[in-house]
Amino acid sequence: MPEIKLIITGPPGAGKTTAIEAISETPPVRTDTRTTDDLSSVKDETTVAMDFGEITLESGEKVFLYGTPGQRRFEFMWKILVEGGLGLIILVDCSRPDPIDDLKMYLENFSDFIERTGVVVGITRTSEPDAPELTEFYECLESNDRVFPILDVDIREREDVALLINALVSTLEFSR
Amino acid sequence: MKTLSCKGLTDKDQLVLRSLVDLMISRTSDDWTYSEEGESDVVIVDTDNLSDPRNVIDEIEARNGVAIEYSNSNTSDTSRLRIQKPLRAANLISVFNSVESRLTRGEIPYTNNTGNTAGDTAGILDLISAGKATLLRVSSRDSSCVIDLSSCRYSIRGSLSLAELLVSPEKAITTLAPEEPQGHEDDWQPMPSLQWLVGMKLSGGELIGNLHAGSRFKLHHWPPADLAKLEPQAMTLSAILSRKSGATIDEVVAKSGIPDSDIIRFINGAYLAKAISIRAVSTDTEDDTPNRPEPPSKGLFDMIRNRLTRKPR
Amino acid sequence: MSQYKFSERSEAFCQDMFQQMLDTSDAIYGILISTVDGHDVSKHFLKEMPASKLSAMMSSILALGETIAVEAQQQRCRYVIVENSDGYILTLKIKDKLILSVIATTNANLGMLHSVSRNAAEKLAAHLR
Repeated sequence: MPEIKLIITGPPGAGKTTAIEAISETPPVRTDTRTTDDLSSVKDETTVAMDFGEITLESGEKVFLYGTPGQRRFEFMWKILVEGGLGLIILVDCSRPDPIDDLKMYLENFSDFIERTGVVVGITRTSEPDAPELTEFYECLESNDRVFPILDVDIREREDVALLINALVSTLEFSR
Repeated sequence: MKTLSCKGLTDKDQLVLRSLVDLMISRTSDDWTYSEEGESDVVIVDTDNLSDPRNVIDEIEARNGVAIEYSNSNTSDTSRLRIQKPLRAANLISVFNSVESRLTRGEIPYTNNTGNTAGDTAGILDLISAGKATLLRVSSRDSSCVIDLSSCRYSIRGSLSLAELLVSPEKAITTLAPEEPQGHEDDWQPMPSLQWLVGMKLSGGELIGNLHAGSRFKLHHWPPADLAKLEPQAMTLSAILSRKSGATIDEVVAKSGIPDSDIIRFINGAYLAKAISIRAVSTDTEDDTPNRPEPPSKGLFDMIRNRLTRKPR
Repeated sequence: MSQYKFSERSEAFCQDMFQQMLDTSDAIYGILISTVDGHDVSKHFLKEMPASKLSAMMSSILALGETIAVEAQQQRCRYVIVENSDGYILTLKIKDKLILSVIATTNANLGMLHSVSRNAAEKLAAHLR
């Protein structure tokens, strides 16, 4: 049986660490360091290797959740972390200058993994004044005939993180 | 020819009303006649004089009649047409012209009563999907809700939630003209999945008029997160219907084990939300994708779902 | 994008320091200062290597080292050493925001490499105070 490993990625500040914190039943393992660039105006710390959390199933098996670093310079970690993964959650932050472009970048960079597995997109901070409509995010997927879930979520809420995982699991089970 | 009657009016008011109807004929588009009894098109209800005016109005609307509230008060918490006492020709003409315009546009009360057939509720979905009803009022017992489908918002009063109200067997649904005052404007609540929810909850077991049960349906958008939280099956149904080639209802039943009535409800919701279309043929090649790892067993997926629905340890 | 940058004086100090390290051990062929969040700041390489990529990787590996120490209930990670068939890569923190990485062949004595790197980190930390 494949390892039960789900990967959460997305731009810096989108809430990857927060999502794992919200759903993991153990305190998440974090690799945060101080930010020294522009990001320091948004957050003091950033993930540079990975976040890790886990959920135990009734059978005793564990679902491992890995959060990637967001910045593209950590692309090598993305490749390491998706190895053996079951599926991907991409978080997109509408407070950033071009969330559509962010989504395209992650879809492209994880395209091989997505093709083999599945993806769900969580859109955060949608109340931002310039936040694109969900339909605009769906247009990013038009080149691929598979329709993946794109859900507006508050990543601080366990229920919303559970919803993303549920959508991913449903996609993996039924959309292939 | 339109017929008019009244309930609860004093003898004096009845007299005034009859004489005004005679006077009005030349100033309204249609011919109006006063009727002593029977099921008239329009009934003026004196809400001050009746012990239970709500029941009287519900009965009128249940048979697709138009009820006009007649009272001393100049405010109302409903979206019904109303006339303030005393009866004046100008007020009556204005209200009657509104009634005519509603009847002309097909914006007449649409009611589903207990015991009516499923097709009756499907009828309102047909009106909505044809763009003929974008504003609805749904009432049941102490609850009333104005639903603005074009802006995905609603305003509700009473003890029932929107979902409970939409499935209440005693609900009465009235389509409203967009320019009419709604009475609840101050407390609109946004709901991204409103069209989807209305489509699902008002489904009477049959597909919306122009959809066919044998078609292959393809979902283009998953439902918004708020619907997925209300309807746990939405995730499974979305996943199956969003496959490259979509799926027929029979295929969805076979794959998910979900009853076809629930699948029809979901498709109706998706159709109203403009999230689904019809595919001519299956062109599914997804299973041919190379290097796809063997998926985990169904049992594992179920265990993950069950775990997610439990509170954290 | 605004990134951590040395003043001219600090950069000159670093280059002097790098030269002293290279003079101490001819096994050393790469010295890199980067930020804890993975940006390169200063370097002295005797052969071509991708400084920006290495900076991000050093940031990840040092953060992992620190996290692993915590999980194993050990105190304060001092170095992360990658020992390979043909060389060593030694990484340690300089104050809060910077990382020093030293890349050497297997001709290096690992103890000496520790010592050279630690001394350099202390001097840099003192200078950058």
